[in-house]
Amino acid sequence: MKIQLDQTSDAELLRLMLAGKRAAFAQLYQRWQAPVYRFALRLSGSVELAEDVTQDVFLTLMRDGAQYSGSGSFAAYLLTIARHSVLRRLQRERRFVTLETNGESEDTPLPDGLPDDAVDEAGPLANLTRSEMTEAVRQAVQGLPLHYREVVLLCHMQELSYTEAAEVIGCEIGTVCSRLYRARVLLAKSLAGWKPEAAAAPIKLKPARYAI
Amino acid sequence: MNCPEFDKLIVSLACDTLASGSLRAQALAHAATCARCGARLAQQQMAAEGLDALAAQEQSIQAPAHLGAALLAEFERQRMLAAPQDAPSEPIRFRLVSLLNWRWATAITAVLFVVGLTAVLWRQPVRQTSPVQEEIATTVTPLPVNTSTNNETKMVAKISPKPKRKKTARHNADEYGALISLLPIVPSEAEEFQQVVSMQIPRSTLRLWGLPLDEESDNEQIRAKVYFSEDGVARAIRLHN
Repeated sequence: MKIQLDQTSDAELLRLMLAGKRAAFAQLYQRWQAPVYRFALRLSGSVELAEDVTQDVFLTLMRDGAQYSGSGSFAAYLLTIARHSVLRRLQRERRFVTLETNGESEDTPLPDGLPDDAVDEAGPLANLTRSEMTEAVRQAVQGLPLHYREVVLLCHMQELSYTEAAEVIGCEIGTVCSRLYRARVLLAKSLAGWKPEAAAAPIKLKPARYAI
Repeated sequence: MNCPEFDKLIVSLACDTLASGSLRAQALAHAATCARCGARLAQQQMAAEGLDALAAQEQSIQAPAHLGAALLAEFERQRMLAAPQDAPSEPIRFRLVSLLNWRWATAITAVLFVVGLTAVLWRQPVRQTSPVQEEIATTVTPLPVNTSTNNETKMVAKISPKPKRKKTARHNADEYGALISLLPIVPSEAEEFQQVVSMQIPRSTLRLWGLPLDEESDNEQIRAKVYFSEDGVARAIRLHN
């Protein structure tokens, strides 16, 4: 009996894959390679590392896929593997980088507000072209401290719920909300001074170390 | 709504994920009246808007194609490695195929040939030197020749069991006397004797064969081995001691 794999659930595909069905693995890979790769790419900032991490994730799935209980989110399961792989590799390579102004912890008091010109009626982003804006946001995200960046990537880019994000990170939901709020404040702060002509100027980065 | 209450809702409000409509209305009303909270909401909305735009743009990013090919190849490899554990009949078939390989077949044939040849060579000397031949070869001596023509003697005889090996032959040689030829021509070839018959006969029979005997003991029974040739004629005799 031929199974419609594109409509099959992740858990069922995983079961078929573990039974040796090549098509099931191909379908799972097709379905999840992009989210895993993007997450690894944005979390690490390195194409090579993202490729290695993507490979790690699917190799782990082949080897230890049976450990997935099926009760939780499959996305959270894969991204947990990806996150561990990224952090392990970053620790090994010591490639922690962040924006000069963002080396702050969760206890650092946040600024009360943005400069006056940043909250005008149209909003600061209204003046930006779409591609320039997204490039500025990308750089701002890349400059966030790791523990803020991962929350932003999980909740915004991967569209996980706070619960799923908490599962991936291994923390409380309240911590996720708190970090997300602070991350947005920092992002807004970075974007507030951004002007289209300033897009060409690279954001100054400096190496920093964070305890993970 | 006051500022601390607004702070708790601001993330959900900015992402438009606030479930309660009334809470949302209260929060927006507070942001409109409080400059500080209004600015913070604007901050959050601006960041959320930028992130949404970025997420939409990055939807097109895919993992490189070579990754997928490599992973599929790895999956195939692992499946092949795992196959013998899943299907126990596979290795048996594999072994049978291996055994049928021409190299194996050649080797096995060679071994069987050597073993067979060894067995044949080992058996051949035993056949050639049967107890009868040994006895003839070693004990035939020229005897006084009698010209008796009545060599054909019919008598009830018990065919002895098949001659045993050397040990038996030596034992027989001890029990029986020298081989006496019953014909004028001494058999030159030991192979001429086809059968050896152990029998008990009256001594008078020996006279019929031309052997010298005391008349007084004609009725005495004696044991002897009579050697017959291929044509059924008694050719030689060996008397029991």
